[in-house]
Amino acid sequence: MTKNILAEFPDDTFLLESFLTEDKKHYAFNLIVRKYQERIYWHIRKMVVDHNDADDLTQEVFLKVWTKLADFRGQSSLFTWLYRVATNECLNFLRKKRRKFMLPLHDVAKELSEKIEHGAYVSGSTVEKELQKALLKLPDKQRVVFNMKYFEDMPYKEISEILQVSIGGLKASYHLAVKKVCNYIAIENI
Amino acid sequence: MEEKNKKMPFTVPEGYFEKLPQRINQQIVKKEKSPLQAFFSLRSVRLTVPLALVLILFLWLVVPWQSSHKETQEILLALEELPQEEVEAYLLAEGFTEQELLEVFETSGPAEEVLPKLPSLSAEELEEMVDMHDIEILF
Repeated sequence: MTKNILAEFPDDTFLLESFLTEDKKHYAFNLIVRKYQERIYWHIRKMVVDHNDADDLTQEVFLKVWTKLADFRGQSSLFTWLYRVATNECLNFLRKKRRKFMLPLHDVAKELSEKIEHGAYVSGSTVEKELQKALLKLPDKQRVVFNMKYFEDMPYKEISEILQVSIGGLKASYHLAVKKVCNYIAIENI
Repeated sequence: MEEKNKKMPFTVPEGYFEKLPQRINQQIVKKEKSPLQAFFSLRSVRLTVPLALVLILFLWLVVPWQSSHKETQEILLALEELPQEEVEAYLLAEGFTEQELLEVFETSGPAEEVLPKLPSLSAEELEEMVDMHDIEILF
């Protein structure tokens, strides 16, 4: 789905050059939003579960992109940079949520589990829902790694560039995450 | 954890991704309408303002202190070069009392830094000097 959408748009180098040209700035930015909005939204949605939160965060990510893209030096690809901004927004959001309500990891997971069960814009099989609930038992950073590897099929190299973590560390993190999820699924008899 | 379970149980409202770019654009327009925010979001301003503030603070704190400190040093040096008789004559002519002079010396730092070096005098010589200059002895 996503790869076809990406192919419809000009390549990132062209988009970046156009963005830096004053009279093409809005046009280029609009193309960047349309090219990456779905990937960014789903990346965020998997982390925050709730549609309205994911919607707010997606908008915030693109507002940040609008403000900071002129300073982007192209040390990584645009896609890597966008994912990094989105990941940081998610992790900050979840951290603030915990701090605001003085909640431990367990209670945030409980709140998000409720949303998986009864929230708006959630419809899937029991297995899909239970897998999402099992993922909520993982620490946030491990969950990001799992989502990128398992759901998005991203190569470790790409994840490593986004999260700026070593490939070895990522492999260990993913392996541990899979083990925890499998244990949870076995205990719950799903 | 098989391939078939790689789907997520999440959906979005109908037409969500068609409307999202427009909503983001509206947010940008709204943000850019606030001139103060737009002013401070300029890269040149973001770099210049803190530098200017640091410079102002530096000028305010260091430069006046340095110039006043320099002036004080120059005055003290000039005073040190003055003959003692001239200083005494000036102070008497200005009508300074001994109490006033003591107050000035007390607030001007250690006496050895401020007072001119007096020749070593015996008690009698000192009394003679006091009588000669008609200085009122307060204690």
